[in-house]
Amino acid sequence: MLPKELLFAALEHKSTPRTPWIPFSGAHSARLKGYTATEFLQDEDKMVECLLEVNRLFKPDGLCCIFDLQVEAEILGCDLLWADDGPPSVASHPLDCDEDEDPVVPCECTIPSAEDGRIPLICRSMRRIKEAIGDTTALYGLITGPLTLASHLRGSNIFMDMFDDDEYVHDLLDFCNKVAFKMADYFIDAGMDVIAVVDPLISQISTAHFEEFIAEPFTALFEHIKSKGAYASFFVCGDATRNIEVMCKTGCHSISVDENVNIQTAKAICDKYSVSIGGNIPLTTIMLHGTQQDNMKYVVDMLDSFEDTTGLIVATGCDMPFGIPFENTIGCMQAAQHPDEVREMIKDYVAEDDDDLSAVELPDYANLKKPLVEAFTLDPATCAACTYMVAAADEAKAAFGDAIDYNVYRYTIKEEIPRFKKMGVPNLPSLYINGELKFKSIIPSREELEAAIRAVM
Amino acid sequence: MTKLYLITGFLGSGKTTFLHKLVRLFPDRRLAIVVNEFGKVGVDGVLLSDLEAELIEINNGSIFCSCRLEQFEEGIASLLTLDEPPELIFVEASGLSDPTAVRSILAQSGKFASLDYAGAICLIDAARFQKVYQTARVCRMQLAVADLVLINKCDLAAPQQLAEIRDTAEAQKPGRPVRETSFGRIEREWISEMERPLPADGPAEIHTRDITLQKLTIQLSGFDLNSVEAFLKMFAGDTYRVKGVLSLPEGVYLADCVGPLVELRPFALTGISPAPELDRLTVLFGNGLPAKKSIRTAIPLFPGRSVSIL
Repeated sequence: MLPKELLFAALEHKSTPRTPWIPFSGAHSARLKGYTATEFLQDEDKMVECLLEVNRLFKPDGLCCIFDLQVEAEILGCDLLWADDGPPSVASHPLDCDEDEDPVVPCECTIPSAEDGRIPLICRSMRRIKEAIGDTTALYGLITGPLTLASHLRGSNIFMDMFDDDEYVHDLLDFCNKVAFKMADYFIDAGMDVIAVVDPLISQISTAHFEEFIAEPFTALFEHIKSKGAYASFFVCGDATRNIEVMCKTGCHSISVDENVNIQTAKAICDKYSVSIGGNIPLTTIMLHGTQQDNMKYVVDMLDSFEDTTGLIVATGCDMPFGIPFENTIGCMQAAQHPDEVREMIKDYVAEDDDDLSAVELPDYANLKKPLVEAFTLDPATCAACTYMVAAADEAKAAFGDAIDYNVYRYTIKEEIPRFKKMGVPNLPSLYINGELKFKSIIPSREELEAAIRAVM
Repeated sequence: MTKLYLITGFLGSGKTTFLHKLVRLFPDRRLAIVVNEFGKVGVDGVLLSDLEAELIEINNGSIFCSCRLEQFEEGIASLLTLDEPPELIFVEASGLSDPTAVRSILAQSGKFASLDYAGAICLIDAARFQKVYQTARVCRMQLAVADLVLINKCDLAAPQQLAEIRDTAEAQKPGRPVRETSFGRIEREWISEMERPLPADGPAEIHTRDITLQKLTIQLSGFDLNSVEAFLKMFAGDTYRVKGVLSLPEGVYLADCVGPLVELRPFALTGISPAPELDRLTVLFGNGLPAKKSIRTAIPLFPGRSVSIL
């Protein structure tokens, strides 16, 4: 069975001789050839060179050709902040406006054409990759999900709009979904076997809002992707546990989750709908900061935790951080493709916990002079859910000024991890006020957050 | 071969006036004009109907957007297949259009074989340039495709402003001809300075969209010259452009506002066919300009008059 056939079988929820493996190597791919993320994302030759190296080194059954949720946003007028060590982030929101202004629904004539932005460059790369390895490796084209694109265009106002102006949210999501239809078309035409709709912000909304705003556009989008002969995948980051079932009902072939979701629980739900599930090797604690054995052990333990691995795909939790040591990804690959050998190799391995929690000095929460808002994030520059959680907190800080204190912590910074552990942060992103967890994996509206702060003043 | 010149420039940069002067440079040539407006009510076509040229109007969207592109291509094709095709075509693009695709559209193989794209002339409103360049994304795109930059309305700008515009234009495309003018004045030798456009070397600015652009139409009745001027002044500053032909007790007037500058001038309807729709104003705005709010705020201040936002 060819690697891609193995993956297709898993996507169809059929049993496979081994569990397929996909490292979601986005900007990280640049590092394999010594380029910056920006060079990789803006240059066709470098993109092709790096992706072929990912294929050679990590031997994926499915290769992710592009993982940049800012491609559409850039075309539609968001300013981007480029980075050497990660994908760009959105720095401005063209549809942001004052509360007393009517928000704008963009004209359909602005839906990106195949010639817009970086689409031509990406599609040319995809065609070259298809030509080079498409016979054996399945190819993934990742597009930005409508909710995340709407957030890029409208800023954190979108979370307020969901309460105040549902008609506008429907209209804007409809526009963003039309963009997604087109992006899927371009990538399928360029040879992608699987279209993954990546919408990290799905984890930050309630199931009621999912059913009200998201279910219909996603169902139509997946129907469209399938009608064009491609597989349809639904990617989410963050704690989307509450929404896994409604995600399954949208008709996708597979769902991909990160370590915030208990994959055993999620798989049981997915199995009911014959939807396959991919995940969820932890990106920072294991892949970025762990050893090769940690990575091998995580994958083997995950495989061993299932009685039946039908419909399972071993994958990184989300877009791989730039600095992951190559041997860690190779360790995951070995464990996924040769679990029996690796199980033997690591049978006596005990992971070291070298975090000294006593060295972490937490604020004296009981005796604060003013309210303290703390955002615990994966990394606001690269994780969209974190970006908008921090944006909400930034707005509150702007509103309250010196009347409150405010800190942001990043899990990608190793020195900050002990603080997360000592606080017992259950999911990322989370907002704490005066040391108490107030918003876990749900981005509060401006009113909700301001009320929560006022309550402790 | 038919030569095609594209005329771009943001709203209010003086393209229509310029076109009148440009046409006069070629009294002995067969000419055609394609005029494109973003609003539903076409006004420029009316203003150009007195010229000795074949005229095609494409309104309600940019000719470079998918929504009007087909109409544009059909228009060009119809001109090229006339028994006596024009020797020169001037295309006046909407002030809100992003013309970066012009070359790829006109270079489609086999589609316009007898057409020679001679380049783009970009008009700049000297006094307003810095403001619109910062706020309107398309302004950047229009300048990017230009082969000749005409800094217009120099009489209204300070020398420092002109120097800044030259610096911006030079930084974007070094060596490109830049000329200063007023009232859309153009000389034939400036046209000949335009080099034949070459494919961009090096990484071109990527093609993006401006999703903030908006247009609305307002219908007025019961106003006289004074009150309509006062009404326009209440919100024109929050728009890029307001345009339309008004039938007032004092006579027929053309309302033509560029940003906060409100202009109302007598307008002769005789001989203009088809007659423009009267008392309708097209309002163009974007990028957070609170035009709708300002219009709504202004309406109650004019009791006895009727204003409806269509």
